Amino acid sequence: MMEILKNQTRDILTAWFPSCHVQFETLGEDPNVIGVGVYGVPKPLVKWVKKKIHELDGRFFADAGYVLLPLVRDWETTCKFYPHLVRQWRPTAVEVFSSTIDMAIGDPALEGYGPRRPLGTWRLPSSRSSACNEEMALAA
Amino acid sequence: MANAFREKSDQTWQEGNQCLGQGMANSAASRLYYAVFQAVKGFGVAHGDMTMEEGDRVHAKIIGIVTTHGKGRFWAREKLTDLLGLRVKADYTPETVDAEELKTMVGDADKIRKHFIALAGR
Repeated sequence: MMEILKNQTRDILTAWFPSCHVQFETLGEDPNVIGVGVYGVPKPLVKWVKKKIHELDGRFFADAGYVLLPLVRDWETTCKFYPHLVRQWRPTAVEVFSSTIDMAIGDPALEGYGPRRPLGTWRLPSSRSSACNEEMALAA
Repeated sequence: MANAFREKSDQTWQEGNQCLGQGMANSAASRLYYAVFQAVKGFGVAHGDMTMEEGDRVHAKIIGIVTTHGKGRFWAREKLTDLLGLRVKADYTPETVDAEELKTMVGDADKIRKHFIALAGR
């Protein structure tokens, strides 16, 4: 029964965080504490990922005498200590979360993922027509 | 029955804070977690939820007691689980505990610890 629940939990987490590596980890001293390793999470989102694991813990594991223990590693920690678990691309906030999670623009978890300067200051490097001509030439 | 771990928990808590003050975040995480652990165990023994000799699956049991008897059922569970997470990082993994992250947990951990010391004495 617990294995089924764990598998379902892993499926949920993998669906929620498709660009991160997710795995269960045994602590060695207490089999009822289930470590949930999530690797390669953008730093501003670490707290939020932990919160989602806590939600699953409260909903499915608390009454069964088990504990889901979030062990969430940001991108830098993953690269430094767990390079074998680094995915080939650096995840963005959009890639970390699937559309099944409720998240709105302005959510504190997304802080730092908006434009870094006022939108009015963004400019194309050159005119649209020259960019199109360049693309066309490359395509040809 | 009073909390038999009260003095030990106080001592462990002090040691944890000393370690944190000296920049020894790994040792601090371990000591601070066990200070709360001891306070909850003292309550668990006094309340008949566990025995003094109990050693099997104790972390899940302690967190279960916090869930049942803590203030704000899942609030205390989440806080103690997060502290256990740092203790696991301190003792079992290659990375070092982030002292700043640990500092944000100290206040809540002490609230849980004091709650279970007081609860056992009632």
